[in-house]
Formats: sequence, C-alpha cells, structure tokens
Amino acid sequence: MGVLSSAPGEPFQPVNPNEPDQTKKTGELPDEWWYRVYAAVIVTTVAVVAALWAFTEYFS
Amino acid sequence: MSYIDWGIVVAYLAYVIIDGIRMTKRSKDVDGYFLASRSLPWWAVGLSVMATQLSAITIVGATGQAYTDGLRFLQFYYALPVAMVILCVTAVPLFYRARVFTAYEYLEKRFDAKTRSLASFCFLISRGLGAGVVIAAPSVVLSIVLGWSEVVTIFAIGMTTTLYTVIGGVQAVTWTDVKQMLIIFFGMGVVFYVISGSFPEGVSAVDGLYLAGAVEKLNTIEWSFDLTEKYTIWSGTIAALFLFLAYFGCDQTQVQRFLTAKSVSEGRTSLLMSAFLKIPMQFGILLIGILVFVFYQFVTPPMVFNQVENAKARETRPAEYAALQARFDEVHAKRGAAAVAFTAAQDSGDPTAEAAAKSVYASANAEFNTVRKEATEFIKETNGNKKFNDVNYVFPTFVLENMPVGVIGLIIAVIFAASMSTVSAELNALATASTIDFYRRYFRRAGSDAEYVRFGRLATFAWGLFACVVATYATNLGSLIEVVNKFGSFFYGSLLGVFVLAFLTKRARARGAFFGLLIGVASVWIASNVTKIEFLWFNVVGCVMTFVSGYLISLSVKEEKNATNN
Repeated sequence: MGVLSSAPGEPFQPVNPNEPDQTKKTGELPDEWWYRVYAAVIVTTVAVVAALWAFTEYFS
Repeated sequence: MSYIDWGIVVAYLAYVIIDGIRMTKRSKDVDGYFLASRSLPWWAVGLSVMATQLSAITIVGATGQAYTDGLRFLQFYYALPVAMVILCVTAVPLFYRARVFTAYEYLEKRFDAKTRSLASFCFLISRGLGAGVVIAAPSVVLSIVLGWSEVVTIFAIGMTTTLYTVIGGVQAVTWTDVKQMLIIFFGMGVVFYVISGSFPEGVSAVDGLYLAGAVEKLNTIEWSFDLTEKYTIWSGTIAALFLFLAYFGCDQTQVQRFLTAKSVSEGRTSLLMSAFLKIPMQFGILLIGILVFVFYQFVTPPMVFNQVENAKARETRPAEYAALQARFDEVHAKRGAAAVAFTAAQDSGDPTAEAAAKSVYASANAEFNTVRKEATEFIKETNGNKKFNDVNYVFPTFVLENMPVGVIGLIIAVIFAASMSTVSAELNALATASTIDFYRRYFRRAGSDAEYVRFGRLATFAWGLFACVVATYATNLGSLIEVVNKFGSFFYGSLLGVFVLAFLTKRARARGAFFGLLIGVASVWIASNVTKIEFLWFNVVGCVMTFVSGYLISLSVKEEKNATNN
C-alpha cells in the first residue's frame, strides 16, 4: 500500500508521485456519463414510487 | 418434511460449503483474503451487495410484517436509490482511491488513530450483535421444522457459514452470495406462483389484492408526519436516507463489497444495481406476505403462529384457550364469508352492493384482528412472555402447512441462503476490521501476509462463535428485521456523522471527530430512553449531533497536527 496524506477535507492522493493511481489503468467512465446515470436513477425511483401510490389507490 | 425436501436442503448446503472452500487457493495473501485483490466484476459485487442486505430476516420478517401490517414497510426503502447515488459521488471514489481495507482506516488518514479505533469499535459491537440476530431468524424456521431446540439450529447455521468464510475469505463470500441470490430469486418466484394459484375457485390473485386493499393492507405511502409512527413516507425518505448512507457507506460489511470491485466505475455500478432493483424486489417479497394474508381468508390460520408457545398456553389454561379458539374460528368463518361476498359484489358491477360488502368485510376483519390480539395477550399472560410476537412464524408456518413437496425444501434452502449470504459477509467484515484496524494497527505492524490471513481466519471463527451466542438471546425480541435495524441505529447515525465531517469539512479536526462521535452515540442513547421517537430517527439524531458537536469542538481547536499514515 502506498503512503497517503492530504490536507483535511481534500481527496487523498498518493504521496509518492512515482506510484501510479491504480484507477487510471482501468479506464474509468467520465463524470458526465455518471451524472446522466444518477439522473436516471432518481427519475426511475420517483416513477416507481408514483406507480406504487397508483397501485395503492387502484386497489383501495 | 419429505425426503425430497430434505434432499434439496442438504444438496444446497453441501454445494455452498464445497463452493466456498474451493476459493481457498485465491485467498493466500492479505489482499486476496480481504479484498479479492480488487478483481471482481460489478455484477458479482452488485449481487453480493444485495445478498448481504437481504437476510433471512427479510424473507421471514418482512413477509410476516406484510401479513400483519401490509405494505407500509416498503416506504423504508424509498430513500435507498438516493443514498446509493450520494455514495457513488462521495464514498466509493474516496475509499477506493485511498486504497484502504476498511472504511475506518480512512478516518486515521483524515483524523487520527483514536477516531479510527473508536469508529471501528462501534462497528464491531453493532455488527457483531446484528450478526447474531441474522442467525436467529432461520433458526426459528428450523426449530419448527425439526422440533430441535433453537440453540442447536443456531449453531448449525452459524458454524456452517463460519466454516466456508474462515477458509475462503471474501472470494468465498462474494461468489457464494451470487449463487445464493439466484436461488433466492428463483425460490421466491416459485412461491409467488404457487400461492397465486391456491385461492378458491372464483377468487383470482387480482381479487385477492382487492381484498387486501379493502382493509388497507396495500398502503405504500403513509403521509402523516409523526415521529412516533414507525413507517411513514417521511421516516422512509429522511430517516432511512441516513440509515442507508450509514449502512452502505460506513458499515464495513457493505464498504468491503465495493472495495473488491475492479475499479471505481465497477464499484459504482454495483451499488446502482441495488438502487434499481431493491424497491421492486422488496415489493415482491412483501406481496408474498399479502398473498399469504389473502390465502388465510379462505383457510383457517393458526390462532397463534408460534406453535410452541401456543401449545404451552393451551396446556396451562385449556378451558379458556378452547373458548378463545372457538371465538377465533367463528370470526374467521364470518370474515371468510364476507370476503367471498365482497368478491362476488365486485364481479356484479353494482357500486352500491360493492361498497356495502366492502364495509361488512372490513368490519369482519377488524373483529378478527381483535380476537387475534386477545389471543396474543392470552399467550403473553399465560406463558409470562411479555415480548411474545409471532410475526416471524407466519411465513414458515404457512410454507410448511400449505406448500407442496419440493417447494418446502426450496424455501428452506432460500431461507438458509439469505441468512448465510448476510452472515458470511458480516463475519468477513468483522474479521477484516479486527485484523486491519486493531491487530495490524496496534500489535503487529510489520507482520507477514500469512500472519494477517491466519489472524483473519481466527477472528472470523471467533466472531462466528460470538454471533451464535448472541443469536440464542435474540429469538424472542419481536420482529427480527426491526431488531437488527434498531441495533444498527444506535451507532449508524453517529458513524455517518464522523464520515460527513471527514468528507465535507476542511475545518474538522481529530479531537472534534472523536468527541463528536462519543456525543452522537450518547445522544442516541438519551433519545431512545427519554423520547418515544421511532428507531429510524436515531440515525438522524446521531448524525446531526456528531456533526454539529464535532464541528464546534473542531472550531475550538487552534492547532492540530495533521494525521499521518504510519
């Protein structure tokens, strides 16, 4: 494991600059793509809760 | 149970143990044993996340709760997808890139060793107790099936799980989780199909839903803002959000799942898989409980589902018991007739007749509930068991008395699978925290991988034993799904508060985090003893008190040396 340190509140980065960030090797998806996924999760959740409410109303 | 059912259960157990033990060769070093060398695909991690959360308590307790209380419990899960999104933005990349083994290791990097140790200690206590409750749930089922004492069944389940977790480490935990989750999906699908087709002629599954809806069993949203009310839309979206943030983001049991993923993206995807699937899956499980309720409109249910307590009361006060049973049979027959009349009125298409029949049915159901409540009180009084609650016995009793040969064995295997998948992850996480946060941190800082793995195996075994002992005391604590959440809620909010301090503020200091955590836990303890607020809100209390007090104490600290990694 690399030695890690950072200022309080900031993301931790490897102290040793020669130690590569392991995540770069794996081809992470860009932030923009994730924002769209997060939006899809929230929209889907709202739709599911609305559908459940409709289900309740229909059978009451 | 028939030989076929026994065969299914034994085949399942043998397969899981052999499959878990096969993973030994990939668990030689500390990275492999605790983090699977960060090599697992998102779908395996995602199924493991779901399997870890879905315990036998979910199967046994939630179906029983739906039978007695309807779908209201579903509200508890509405905030889960939001929590997953927040964690994907914050905890997943921070923990993953910090290359930590435990979430608490991060706190030493951010604050100091004292805060890390306290947080890890809180986790060990709450999760150690929680693992005991998780083992207790299926032991209830087996004690009914086999007529064995619960102590024997507890140790049979607990130590079987401990065996493959000790040997195979996180690899065994994850890959058995995947298979166990598939067994659970299949088994619950089969039960759903069989119950749907078991109503009397002329009563369809849709008719059954109308019956449940008529007595408010299908309420999925409760709007009242009452802090003493257990499940409302507010406790489900606000208080449960804090619980899920704490459970998936600060509890090593779940943090360790996404730390085994190949990358940050795969870790995120694994959590979002749960975000998409959890509410529909939980709805399906609760719906099975609703269908059991409908089934018992037409078939006489036991007056009390716990047969051991039932028999004890019957023998102690036979005349009173017989009178109560006679009244129970009478109100059940009346309710059954009202249910048939309501279904017929609906088919007639006459709104006036339908409304009248609905009213009669609702009134008959209320009468039935009154007698059942009297029966429960009778058991409590006669047996001297003030905490008596038969919610956890509803589904197992239904399965054993009404499901066909083969399905019974499958459901027992499902309950085993759900329990073992959760317990194995918990034992593995408890062992990881014990090894990394205490043994390696304080006793053997420069030990070899073999030494840490050896200690990890020993810790897994010790925690398995501890959980079994706790389980022996947990079987009479009411609805087990609530008990496990209550255990967690005492510490979860405060742990979350510390991580919020770490993630969101630059000004927070070690002293503030440490004392903030203590103040948060103390606040929850006071709130639980002084107020009547429901346990879900303890998560909010703990988080807010830890954050506010931790931040204020930090402001009073003039200079503090940044923590360094040792």
